[in-house]
Amino acid sequence: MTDPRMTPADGPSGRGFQPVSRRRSRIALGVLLAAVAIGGNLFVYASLDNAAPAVQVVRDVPAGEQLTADMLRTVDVDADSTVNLVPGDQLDSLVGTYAKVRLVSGSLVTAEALQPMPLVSAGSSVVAIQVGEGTLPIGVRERAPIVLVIPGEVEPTSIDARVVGLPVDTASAIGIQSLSVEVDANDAATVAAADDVRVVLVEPTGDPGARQDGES
Amino acid sequence: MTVVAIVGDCTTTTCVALAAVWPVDDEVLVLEADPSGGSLAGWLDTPNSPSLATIVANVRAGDSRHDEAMSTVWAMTQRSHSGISFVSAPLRSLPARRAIEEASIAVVPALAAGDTVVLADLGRRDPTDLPASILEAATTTLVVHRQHAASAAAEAVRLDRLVELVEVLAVSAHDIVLAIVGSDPFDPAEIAQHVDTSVPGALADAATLADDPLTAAVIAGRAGVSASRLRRLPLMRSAAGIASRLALGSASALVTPGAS
Repeated sequence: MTDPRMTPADGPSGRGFQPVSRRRSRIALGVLLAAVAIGGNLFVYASLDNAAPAVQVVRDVPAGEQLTADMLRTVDVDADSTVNLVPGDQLDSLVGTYAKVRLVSGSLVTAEALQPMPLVSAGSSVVAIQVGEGTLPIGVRERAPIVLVIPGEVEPTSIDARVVGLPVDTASAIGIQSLSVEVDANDAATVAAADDVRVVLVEPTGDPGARQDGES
Repeated sequence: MTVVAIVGDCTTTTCVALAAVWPVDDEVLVLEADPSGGSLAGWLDTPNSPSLATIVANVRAGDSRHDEAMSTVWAMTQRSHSGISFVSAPLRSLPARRAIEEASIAVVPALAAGDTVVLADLGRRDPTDLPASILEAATTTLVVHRQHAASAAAEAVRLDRLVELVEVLAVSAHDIVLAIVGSDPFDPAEIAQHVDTSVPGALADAATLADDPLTAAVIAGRAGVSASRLRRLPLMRSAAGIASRLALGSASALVTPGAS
């Protein structure tokens, strides 16, 4: 082409074909957005999982029984911080303590349900008394303070006591239930010898076990 | 001057592929003269204007000097980022058809008289409606036939239409080269032989073009294939053989059907 007017506006055509290149900035932006999205999801889901180990009872533990390692295990619990739990890392410290109340299998252990000392303290005795079905006041529970009333010819005898163990089976065939109570050692014989003992639920005062916890 | 008219199937893809692999010493212009409407501007990611319609409107009808017409043509020739110089047809068929008719008055003769290699994309044409001016100006007419592998019976029907097209082209075209895309259901050599038998002496040569959807997609604007990889793809390699044959004339080594 000798005539300059015949030269292409953008110069002579070259050989080859340059394909449309990848838009690397868009790819990078897409990868970045994907990474941010994945990171955000991981953060959200990680923050939702606040499960922490707590101590759980794996079988029924009656009040007064000493805890052993095979009664407990740790489970992950996602609970509000106000829920009263014993952290899982304190499981070993619970072994050897005593159940203040009946611990039902599967329930989570709370510190207030345990005490370091046996339920029957020095100077006390545990006596099983038989009471007729239906003679236990409503509200009687383990560690509840009660008054044992033994009818006499002149006047009844009243003895302060505390419930240790509630009747296991309330549907006795003969209508008699066995209630374990803690009484002063001096009164144990009187209570044990009595044929007829009535139970009076009194206003709760304090829990001797709890006092022992505080003192220990 | 070299004007190559390309007619039949996949003509736009073939044009761009040939332009991309044309021998280095030649300057190549792709002229989109497809009356069904232009695709190149879209494929090559350039504006729709200027198009052939713009050029036709700016080349004065009384321009007797080809260099003046060519000056206008080059001023309005688009150059894509991919390196292809081209004149696109208007997008819609009616303006495209009108522009192609008008181009035969001054633009096509000017292109034919110039030094530039013009690859004229005529599209899939009705044999009764071929642009005589371009075919007369063309030194070679490349007829592209793409086989449809799904049905041999349907393909046989299409082959009859191919023979009809070659018969019509043989009247006005100087040199007809048949390019067959794909080798299924019929062997390309058999097709070439069938056409040659049906229209004796019409075919100057026959060649195969690879059926290569990836390359076709890249030419149509697909991203994600590098230039070096594109050069190694089957369609570009087979197009290089045909480009050499078209550039150097029939005396050159021929690309035999079934070779690729």
